[in-house]
Amino acid sequence: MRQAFETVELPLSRRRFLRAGLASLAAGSVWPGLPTRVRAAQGGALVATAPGDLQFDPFFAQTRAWIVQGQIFSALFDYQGKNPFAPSGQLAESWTETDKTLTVKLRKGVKFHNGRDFTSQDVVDNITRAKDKSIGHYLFDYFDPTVEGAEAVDRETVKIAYKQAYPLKLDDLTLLYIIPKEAMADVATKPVGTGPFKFVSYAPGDKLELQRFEQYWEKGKPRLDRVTVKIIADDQARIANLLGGSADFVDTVAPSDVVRLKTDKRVQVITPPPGGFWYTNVINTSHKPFENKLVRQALNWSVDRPKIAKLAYFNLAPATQSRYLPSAPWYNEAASTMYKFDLARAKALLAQAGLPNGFESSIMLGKLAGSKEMAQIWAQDLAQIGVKLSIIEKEESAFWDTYGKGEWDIVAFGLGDGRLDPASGINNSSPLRINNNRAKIESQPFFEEYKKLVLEGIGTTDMKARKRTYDRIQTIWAEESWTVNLAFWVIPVVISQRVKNYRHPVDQVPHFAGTELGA
Amino acid sequence: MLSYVGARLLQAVPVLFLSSVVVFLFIRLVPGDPAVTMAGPNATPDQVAALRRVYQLDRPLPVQYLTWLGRLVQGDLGVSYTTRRPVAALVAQRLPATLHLAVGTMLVMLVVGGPLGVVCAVRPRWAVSRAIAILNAVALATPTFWLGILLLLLFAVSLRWVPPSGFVSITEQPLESMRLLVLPCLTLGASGTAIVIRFMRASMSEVMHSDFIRTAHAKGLRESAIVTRHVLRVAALPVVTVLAVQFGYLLGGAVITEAVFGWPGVGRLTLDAIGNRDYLIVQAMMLFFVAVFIAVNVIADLCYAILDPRIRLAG
Amino acid sequence: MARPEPEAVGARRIAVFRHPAARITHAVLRDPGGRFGLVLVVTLIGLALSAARIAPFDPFTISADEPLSAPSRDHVFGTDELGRDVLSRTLFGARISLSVAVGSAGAALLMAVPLGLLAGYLGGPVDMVISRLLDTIFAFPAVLLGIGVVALLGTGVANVVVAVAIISVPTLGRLTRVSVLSQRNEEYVQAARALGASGTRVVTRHILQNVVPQLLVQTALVMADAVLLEAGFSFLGLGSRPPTPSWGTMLDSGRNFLSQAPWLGIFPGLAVTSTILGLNALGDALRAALSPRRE
Repeated sequence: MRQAFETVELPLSRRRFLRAGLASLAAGSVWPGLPTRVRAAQGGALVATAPGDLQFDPFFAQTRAWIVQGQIFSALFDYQGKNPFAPSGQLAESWTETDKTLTVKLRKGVKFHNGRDFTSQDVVDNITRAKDKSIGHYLFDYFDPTVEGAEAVDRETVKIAYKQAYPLKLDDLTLLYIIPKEAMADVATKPVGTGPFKFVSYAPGDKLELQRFEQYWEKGKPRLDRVTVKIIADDQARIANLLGGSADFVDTVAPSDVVRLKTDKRVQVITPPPGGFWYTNVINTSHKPFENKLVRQALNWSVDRPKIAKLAYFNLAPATQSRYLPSAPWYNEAASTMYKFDLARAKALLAQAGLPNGFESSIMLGKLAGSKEMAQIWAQDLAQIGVKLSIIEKEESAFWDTYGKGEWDIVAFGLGDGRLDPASGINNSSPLRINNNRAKIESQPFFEEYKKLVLEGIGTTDMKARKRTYDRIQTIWAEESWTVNLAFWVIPVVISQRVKNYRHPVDQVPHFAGTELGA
Repeated sequence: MLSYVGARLLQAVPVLFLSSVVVFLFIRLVPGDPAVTMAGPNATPDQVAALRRVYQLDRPLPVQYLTWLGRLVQGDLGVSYTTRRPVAALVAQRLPATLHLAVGTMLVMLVVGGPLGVVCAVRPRWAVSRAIAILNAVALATPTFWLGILLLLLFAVSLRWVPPSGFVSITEQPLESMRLLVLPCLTLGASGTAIVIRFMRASMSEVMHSDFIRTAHAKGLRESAIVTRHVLRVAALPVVTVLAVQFGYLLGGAVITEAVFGWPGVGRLTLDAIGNRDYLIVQAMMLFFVAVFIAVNVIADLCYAILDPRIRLAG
Repeated sequence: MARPEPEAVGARRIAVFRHPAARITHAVLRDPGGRFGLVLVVTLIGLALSAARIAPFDPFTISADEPLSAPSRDHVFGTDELGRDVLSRTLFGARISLSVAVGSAGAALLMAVPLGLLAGYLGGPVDMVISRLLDTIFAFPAVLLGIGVVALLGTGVANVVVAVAIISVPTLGRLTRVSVLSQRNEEYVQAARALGASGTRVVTRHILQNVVPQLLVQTALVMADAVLLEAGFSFLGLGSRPPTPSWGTMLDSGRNFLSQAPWLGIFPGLAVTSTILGLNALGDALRAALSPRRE
């Protein structure tokens, strides 16, 4: 099975969800937040793994940067606070927010690995870099449309001005890993940050070596002496290393492996709570016959979610047709229970659409674990109503290329957008957003209303009004049916028995600052 | 002999040039684009265009090719798109791992294959020889990755005799390095050993039935002396050729084994580069493989000529 | 994945026999390895052809009730992660693997034989161009070349066939060329020429006939390689499209369940190994039968 992350929509798990399930997270993971007594750093070397070559510029948020980001760099905010779903201060000590400004008081005594003090000018420099289009990084799309500019008020205070009332200021800043200006040019090969570990060496295809940063701002941390990240491409080989005792941390584990590792005493499986990500099939509304919403609805009636959740995704998370868990405040029950598995109903809808004998179509798959099984199950059910669904597997580069060009009928996705606010979730999901929408919904009759609602949702701070807006948006999602949601998607981390005090943040960025190694 | 080498090298020039053009065009024909891959799925067309400018992919193809060729002549292979490191440094970094694997596998083939081949040739009717022949056939028929995974599961995961994967240079930690080399070398060497045994057996039995050996027998020489002094020397020739060719393959063809054992060699580098559409790495590596292939063949011919004075090389 | 060595047969002069087919068949059947190979290959072809009739279950039917169940009386080879019968899928997989083998060997022959004949018979600049072309293809590592071809054309059985064919062209092409070279100056060819036979006629009627036996040997080995390569490509995620049950894709998905459900990988793995065993044994027996030392 290939690594799961590759097919994730970009900002992926960085965004949280407002939901009541805090307890399940605490129960499901090792919680280092409140150690009973602070122990001295006990040292040791932790061996993590990564499926492919790492890249070190944190502004290029490819999955291959994640394992690095939390060790070498820090951002103003992260998701390591007591409420794991809300951004909490990392390099930010305190902050005040108005509709269009954010003033952050920085933590004192923070040093970069090169020995220099971290100051407010560094934040300004990084925001400038984030707004620099010529580098070609993804943060441009976050910061350029929203941030007007930043200024250093004094050495420890930075004031960021926004172009409009913007509710997602802190969430965006969790992505802005601070690089000292003098190291920006070479950050891809010689990364420098303020994180708990500093870069020692990197042998591409082999391993990354990190070493404890003695001047890390948080007293008593990091506890480990070294962190090694071994590059092991093969999924089974990574797990073999873990079971064989030569690795401690594997974070791209397929559901099929999670099931067996859960019963293995040599390892601990840390399963985050469901709700942040979900498996979905996106329909290209510009391809015949999918411009007709009856056909799209027929697809939603034809999918046996419980069967797929069981056989393809090993029941790690519940089946769903909504992107929200019933416990989430945004949950719209009517819209979330509109469909069930009913092939007769699907066939009737196809007949109504003038396709009583079905049609031929294809579904494109990337490397997302379980999608091959999902597609085969669905194709078999669709065959019963005359729909011939062929399965096209693509390797990663070709997958994204084809996806970007719109040369696909249906595509299997793992979408992840856990931001507190669904507004950004829409903006950052290419099949859901209103600009450059990859499902090509612009020519659909509902688009004008949808666009108006999306803009309304992001342009007001009145929570009741917004709840109404997003209820309606969910109804449109369900009725217009251009995404067929399947099941929630959890992405567990598997660690060796000797790893203590590791907590997996909901944004999936590992932080080993507080982690220790036992016997 | 010098004129032979010169002629072979001259023949190599069009092959190298042709392959550089083929690879250059081929990898660009493959759907996918390094800028799209690096920019990520949510990227806007603007962002991709910006990256294409950074990578200089917005220039016309002939310009790209000639620029690359011009730099190549000066020894500059360019910079990788994904890791932003010089391609030459990346290749140099991966070569030791590949060399370890290649040399280790050659040793397996020689140490295991050579003697077993001799046994099979000298005593073809022994049960041992028959068992070897059967094992041989099975080794040749087993998919490499399958064998690798089975060995990995048995010796690294269940028995924990050796670590499942990783690479340490033999100059740094000789023991650990060898422990890590065992499984990949056995996996990779299985079919190679089988080939060596077959060639050894075939070539030895051919020599043993030849007139001069019959004469030696007739002279009353002991069989062991005949085998070691006379037969092996002549019979080793085709085996040397096979080994040389196998070495060429090992320097480039171990993609699957490297994937199974997380071996940071050049095969893996190339495979990843194809996946990421890291064009400059692919171009450099393919040229490297072609050059190695040509060199190995020339060397094999030279070995042949040196070991067997009857052979004269003609351009 | 070593490629067969062309020089092992290519350079040898082949005696011409009156009934080569009959003689070869006889020799193959006399050789225990040959009998073994023939029986194995014929059995596999038989199983592949009658898969629809003898398979106990539909190889595509997904059953949510019994995924990953161990071999039992109902499911002799167990079931896979989607509850499909592994025995039935392995039987149908024989069709895919053998089609890949036959298809790629056929396609390779179609490309390689004309090239080799032209190069060998015409010589000179034509030979030069063709030889360098074959050298170039041959110089690329086989697996990487195949990956490139499949990446270009997309996944699927047909494209794997193309990839394996391209990989095999140089071996077959060089073999043809070398055989033609050895035949070109034979007396019978000179005689035919002297009698006024055209070049095409000499090549097709006389030379080709004598090249065929060696191509036959090599074709068996190319087919064995094709089965291995198909499995290798599938392992790298470039094989046939689901739900097509090729052995390679079965091995690929099976290896995720090796510790829970080893039968998913073991049976298609055994199928691959026995097919290649059979083809190799047959190829060896043919080679031995054609070897002049026998006479």
